[in-house]
Amino acid sequence: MAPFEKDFLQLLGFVYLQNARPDKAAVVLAALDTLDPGQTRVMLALALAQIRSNKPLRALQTLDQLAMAGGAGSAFHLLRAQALGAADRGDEAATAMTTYLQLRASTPQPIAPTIQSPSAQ
Amino acid sequence: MNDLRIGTGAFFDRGIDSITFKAGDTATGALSLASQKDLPPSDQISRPQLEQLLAMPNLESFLEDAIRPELADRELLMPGKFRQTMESTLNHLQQAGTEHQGSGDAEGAKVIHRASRLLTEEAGLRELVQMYRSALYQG
Repeated sequence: MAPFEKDFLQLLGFVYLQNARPDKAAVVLAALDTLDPGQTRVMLALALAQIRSNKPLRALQTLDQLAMAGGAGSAFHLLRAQALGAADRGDEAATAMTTYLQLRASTPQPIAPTIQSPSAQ
Repeated sequence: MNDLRIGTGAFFDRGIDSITFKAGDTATGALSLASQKDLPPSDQISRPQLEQLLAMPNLESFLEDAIRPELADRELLMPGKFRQTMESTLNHLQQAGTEHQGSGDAEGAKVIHRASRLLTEEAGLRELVQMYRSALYQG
């Protein structure tokens, strides 16, 4: 499969997620993950689609694979906290959320966009 | 009275100082015009300014940034290119599904076949939209 076709599947998955179709997004992203495994953005999007379509255990499996592939950033811990929370594992969810907050505090955050008034230009 | 200016630099102070004619493939003089093509659309949605001003970054927007695809070719966002790519992706998915089945990876083949069914359904829905649209044009 050509790189632009992989881009297309990833884009379609993202568009489905943006338009509240997480089950469809999960189908497309799971196929992409089978064809081209180990892509951090794809696996994060797949885990998010699985959480939103009420499949937290599957999302945890995806996140475990992502951790093995070395993609455990702050988004990973946030999604893990959401998946554990949805699977009624509150204590573990709290730990994952604490890790996310620590990581977030140690990385610079983008500044909120501001609109300049025309007279200031 | 307000000092109204459009654009930057000395453009409106100088005005038009040269006109370039382009005949065929040969551009006259040192000036040559860029080749004509459709500009690819932006991959960022333009948000209303009020929303931009009031909305604060939250967990949703953080996750959205983390999963936003990085497109190598933004022409993929144009309807014609999107449709073409959908067709070729569907063909390749069907091929890949058959290959996985042949190599004994039943689970992988199932996942890929499910995605190719979804793309077929999506293509069908798009055809339906096209049909309704042309019915509306005909009146």
